[in-house]
Amino acid sequence: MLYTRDIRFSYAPEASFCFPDIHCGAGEALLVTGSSGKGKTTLLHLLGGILQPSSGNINVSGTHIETLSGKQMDVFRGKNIGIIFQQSHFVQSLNVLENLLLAQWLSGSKKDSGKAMALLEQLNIAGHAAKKTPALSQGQQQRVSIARALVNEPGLVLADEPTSSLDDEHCMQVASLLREQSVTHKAALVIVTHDQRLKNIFHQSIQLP
Amino acid sequence: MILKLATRNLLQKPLTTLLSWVLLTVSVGIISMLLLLQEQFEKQLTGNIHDVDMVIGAKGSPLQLILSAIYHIDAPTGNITYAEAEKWIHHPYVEKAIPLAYGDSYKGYSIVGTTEDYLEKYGAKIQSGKLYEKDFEVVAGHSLAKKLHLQTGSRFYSTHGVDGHGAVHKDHAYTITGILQPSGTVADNLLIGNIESVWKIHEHHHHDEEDAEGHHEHKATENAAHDEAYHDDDDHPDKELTAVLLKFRNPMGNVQLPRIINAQTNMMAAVPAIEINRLFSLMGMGIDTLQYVGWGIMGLSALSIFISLFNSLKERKYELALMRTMGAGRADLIKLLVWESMVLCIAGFIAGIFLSRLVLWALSGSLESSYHLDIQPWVLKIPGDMQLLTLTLLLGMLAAGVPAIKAWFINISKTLAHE
Repeated sequence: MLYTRDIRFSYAPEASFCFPDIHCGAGEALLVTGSSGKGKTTLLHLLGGILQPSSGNINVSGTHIETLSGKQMDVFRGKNIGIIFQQSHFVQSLNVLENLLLAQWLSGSKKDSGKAMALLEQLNIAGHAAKKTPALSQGQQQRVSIARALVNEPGLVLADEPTSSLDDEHCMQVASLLREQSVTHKAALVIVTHDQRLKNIFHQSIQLP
Repeated sequence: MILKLATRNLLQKPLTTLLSWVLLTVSVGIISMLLLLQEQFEKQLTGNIHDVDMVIGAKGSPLQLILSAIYHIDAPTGNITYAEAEKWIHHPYVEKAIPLAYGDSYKGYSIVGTTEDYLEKYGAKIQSGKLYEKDFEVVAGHSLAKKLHLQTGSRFYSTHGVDGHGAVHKDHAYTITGILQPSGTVADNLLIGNIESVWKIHEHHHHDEEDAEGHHEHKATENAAHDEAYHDDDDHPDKELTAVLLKFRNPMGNVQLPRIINAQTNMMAAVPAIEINRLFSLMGMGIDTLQYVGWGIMGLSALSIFISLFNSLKERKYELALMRTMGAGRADLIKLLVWESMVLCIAGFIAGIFLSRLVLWALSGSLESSYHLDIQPWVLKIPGDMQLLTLTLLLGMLAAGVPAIKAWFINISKTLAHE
């Protein structure tokens, strides 16, 4: 569950952003589109608590995250927010399964490899669990990052251009996986993208001015 | 998990890690080896001078007198007459005096003619066989007996001089009547008998080859050879001794006797504590230099850890930012970097300690045979090891410090957006 009210953010006095209010319920998906420089990534970082708004409220699963301190935010983010990035990045020295376990551990929950394996199974990449991430194809890597974002069953999943580096076929696969998984895990899904292909799959969308 | 991640990160760059680890291992190894060597060396040397306040011998180098009379690792300085020494043996300040006649050896191990006080002083008890009773009977020190495979009843001829290359005294064979228990002192490496044996051997020896060779400056009894009075054992008119070990009754002896003897007699008095301190300070210079080298290498290894962490930080910035989005706090990142350095340091420390013991173990054979130093390489705790560990860990922290501070200030948003 996510909603925002009147959020503003400025990197510098002359470059300030004012974002439209957003509402996204559990199991729902929201597409945020806009051309480059409109603050898509900035919005995503605000929603993920990576940046602090200069004013306005952001409510994630009932918590006003703009009121949290840096340390509290780290803990909250680990438990309640899963983030998927455009380029899949992982901890290089760990294999696929260990990357998921690290996410569990960092969020403060117990390491549960059964649960992590089940998730990989659902995403059809369980066979690669013991591989190091650079050995996987881009589509596979993107699926691992979806698994990592979901492994702690967060209330909010944020995706930053999750499909822009994928071909049409993989784009569709990843998009439908994202939707399926967020519905299954009852997470609010916010996708920030300029990828027009996604508009055919996700109908709820807002455009940044 | 952070420990595991740190280890994995180290293994991710095997060569860089190997370099840092090897440097650390070598530096810790050198320093620890020196500490161990110094400690055992000092313990052995000072253990042997316990209860010896002064040594009297012929004039020469006082250090040589100590090295020969107490440790039997140098040639004797010469002989003194029994008559002259006796004055000091019975001096009121002297609590105990142990006369020594030595200078002959068997396969490089000194044969010492002395009194039973000597065995008592080193706490050397008979392990097998019995104590010597007659002339030409000796007891063998424990390690020596083991090395030369000597048993009770073994017979051997002594060799003139202590280096094992002198003429053999073929007239009298020594018989071993017993083996001593290990005492951890110089007695472990000696053949000990009565003084009379040493006197007699040299008389006969002298008669036989009177003009053959000019061995003037050696051993007991040049004069005794021409004097047939050696049978009256209780009073040794012209007998000679090589040295006398003295223990004083009171500290006045310490102050007065060495000065009087050195000034008024043609004998020399040497104080073991002073000479050994001098030896340590001479040796200390070498050990210090090596230790500086060790510390230098340790500094290099800290630098190498620092550089590898610092370099990898650039590539891993995104990874660290990613961990932050997964819920890691700033402190977790610092812990990770510090642990990486610590794991390396601990691994280096353990390997270094092991290396030092290994090197000493390899060296102990030659130390034993050339200096009769009984080095125990496999002792775990030596003073200085704890300080070494603390210092190694501190260096590790220091090396991780700057990278850790940089990790603290990583701007997640910027890092993630710019990739």
